[in-house]
Amino acid sequence: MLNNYRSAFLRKSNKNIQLFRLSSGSLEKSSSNGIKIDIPKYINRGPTDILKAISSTVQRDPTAAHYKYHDDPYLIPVSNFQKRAYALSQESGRKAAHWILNQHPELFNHKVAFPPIEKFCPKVVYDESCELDENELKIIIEKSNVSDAITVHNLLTKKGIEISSDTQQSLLELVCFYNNQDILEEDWIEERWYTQANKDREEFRNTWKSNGFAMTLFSTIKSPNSHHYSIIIQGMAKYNQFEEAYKLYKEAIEKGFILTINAYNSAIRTAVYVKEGADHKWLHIQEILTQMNDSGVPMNLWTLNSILSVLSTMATNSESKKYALKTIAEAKQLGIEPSLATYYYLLQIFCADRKNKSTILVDILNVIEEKSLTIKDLADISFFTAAMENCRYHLQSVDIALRVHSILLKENNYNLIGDSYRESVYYRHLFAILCQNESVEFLMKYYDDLVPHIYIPEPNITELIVKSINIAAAVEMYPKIWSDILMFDQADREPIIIELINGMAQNLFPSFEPSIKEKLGLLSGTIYDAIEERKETGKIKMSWTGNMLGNLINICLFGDNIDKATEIVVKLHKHQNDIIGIPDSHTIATFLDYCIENNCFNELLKCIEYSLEVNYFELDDFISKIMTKMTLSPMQRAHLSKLVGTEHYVEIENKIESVSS
Amino acid sequence: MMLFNTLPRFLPGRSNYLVLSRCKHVQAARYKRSIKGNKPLTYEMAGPPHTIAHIKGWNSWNTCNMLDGLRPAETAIDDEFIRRFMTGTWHDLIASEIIIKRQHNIIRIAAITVQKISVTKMYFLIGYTEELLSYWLQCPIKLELQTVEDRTAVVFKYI
Repeated sequence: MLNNYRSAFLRKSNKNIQLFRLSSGSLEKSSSNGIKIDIPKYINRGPTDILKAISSTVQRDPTAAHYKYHDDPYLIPVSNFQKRAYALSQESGRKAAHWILNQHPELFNHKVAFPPIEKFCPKVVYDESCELDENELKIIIEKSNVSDAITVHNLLTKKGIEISSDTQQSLLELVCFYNNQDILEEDWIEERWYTQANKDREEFRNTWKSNGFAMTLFSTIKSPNSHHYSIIIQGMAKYNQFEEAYKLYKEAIEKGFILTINAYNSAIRTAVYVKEGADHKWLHIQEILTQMNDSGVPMNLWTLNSILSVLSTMATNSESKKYALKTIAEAKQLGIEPSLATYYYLLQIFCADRKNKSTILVDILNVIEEKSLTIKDLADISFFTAAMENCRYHLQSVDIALRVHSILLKENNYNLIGDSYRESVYYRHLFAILCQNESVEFLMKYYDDLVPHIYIPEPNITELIVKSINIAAAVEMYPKIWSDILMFDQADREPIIIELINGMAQNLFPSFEPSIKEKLGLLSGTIYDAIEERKETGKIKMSWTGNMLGNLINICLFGDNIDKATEIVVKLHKHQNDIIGIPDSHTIATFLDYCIENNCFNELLKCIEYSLEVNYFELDDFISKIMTKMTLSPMQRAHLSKLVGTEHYVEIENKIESVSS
Repeated sequence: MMLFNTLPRFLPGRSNYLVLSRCKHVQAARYKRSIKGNKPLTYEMAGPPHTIAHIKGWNSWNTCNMLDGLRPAETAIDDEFIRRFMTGTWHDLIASEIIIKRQHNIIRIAAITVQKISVTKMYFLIGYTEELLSYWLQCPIKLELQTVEDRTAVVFKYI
């Protein structure tokens, strides 16, 4: 079959082929005339390059949860709490398995995989019975396993095995870098993603282990050289033991050592605590810079960042901006390319003053828009959050916020968002700006894209979103936003409920289509039920106000939901003591009008009962209206007169007659 | 079954008759009819083995038993281990057969579970199963679960 087609095709396109041959022949000629074919150089590809290329063709699916969650409706999280709980539960299960592995290593000694995969094997335990030598220690240091390295080192010294100075130095590097303790392993991704939230609070808190292994090791070294000094200064400065670090730095300088560049950088950072006052800090920095200059150590990116980080702590000082500019200019001369951390510090320095607005962020965006960003400094991950915050409070500009967002989404820049805490802060700011400044359609475009799988709005952001829907009178959004509020478990947040009910009541326009009207009526019923339910379980402590219930009645009537409206009126009547205030008389008038129009006498009676209790100013008008506009049967008339009181009823009747005559 | 009952009548040959009558008594992987006719079967259980690749799939997907395939025996044992481990770990939660799919060095385990325990517990079990099985089999393991509200959701027919 296929062959037939093929021959037919060939016959048909014979002419074309001949033409093609002719032309290609002429091409060959011209190429021999001097055009050289350039064969591109072979590019070495990594094992995952093809996978990366394929994955770059796939875009994010806004309707799908993050891939770490199981793709099943029951297992997909819908609130911030669930996201965190599910991800951490899975990790805790993995940890349980890990615990079993380490508890019963003898069961897992079989070798199936070839080559063996170390991650799947139980951890090796080092004790006195092990045959150890220096090479073993080197391997452990290579794997950066701090506690094992310390044990093995102790065992080696106990056995009297000499350790070369190189190994000793790398061990010192290891323990100083990790502050003598094992860090959370890279395997526990979720724990790292969720626990870093409280790191900010620990900023500048001294966490250096002063009597730790690093200090003992340092003291056992008989004649520490400049490397040893550099390492210990860096370690101390990393864990905020600034005073000791500065002391050691001075000691080293006195001995005439030339330290490594990173040690100088750490020494600059000590200015935060060692010196007080902006001028002294700046002098401190200058002093170290001159020493660097004298020793012939050129500054690098981290020098720049260290200086700026010190300057950012004294950003209120007017001089700091000048100093920062000077530093930047110097770095530019040396050809140092700034990282995101540099820009982060610049933002802190230049935008500390709320009165004098600085548009430095725009300049920064102009620079980084074309670059592909990679992480170079730990503080890099703070940039995007800070930039968005700057857009919200400092510049108050949607356009710039969107520019920041588009840069974040470019290439692999999203890796620089940091952790879950920073991510949610970032989106909090983004949504706040969108709510304050943009049309609802625009806001909803972002809302549909990001909520709920990437970001779930915090209660105050939900309130802002509801507000902007209210302002735009985007009534069709109400059912969706209410179901989202229920899903995020925010229906017990009083400000949100009040804002939503008030907004809905204000946006009742008779020109709406009947289907929307009906939806609103039903929605108001569900809102009432949901709140009642939460009040019963004690989740909501606020008491109903007459105004809120009145609004709900209005919405119910608007949507022909007379049953619910009556239920609310009965509620008003029965629980008068628990309800603050009374509904507007306008609401009651609407209710009565509706009843008159649709001939709902029983509902009408309930409303009259309530209005008699409250004793509205317009009560007589209401009743006379009923008597004139509604055709009542004698039975109904009797009912009404009994309710109102016969004398009063007759009085009103006479009044109507006198008016009509 | 109908075919086997009626065929002998048309094929009086002695040898044919014998073979077909043996076929009639094959009972592996076929479920016995209950007296009341209320035994629930899943879709997978409802099809006898000869319907594999026609109306249902395999429970183990691998290339071990092909020409020059590697470790056929070990794979069979591993699969049995995985099945027992799953039914034991997810006690009274699995509502279907456990499907084991091997691709390269990855083993994907698919099953349908009942929503009897909380979601966090389910995630705990997912993490635990994946990690412990990868320690045991020394390769990446992935669970691919679907959940159903109760067991009746997976019943295909009653016999």
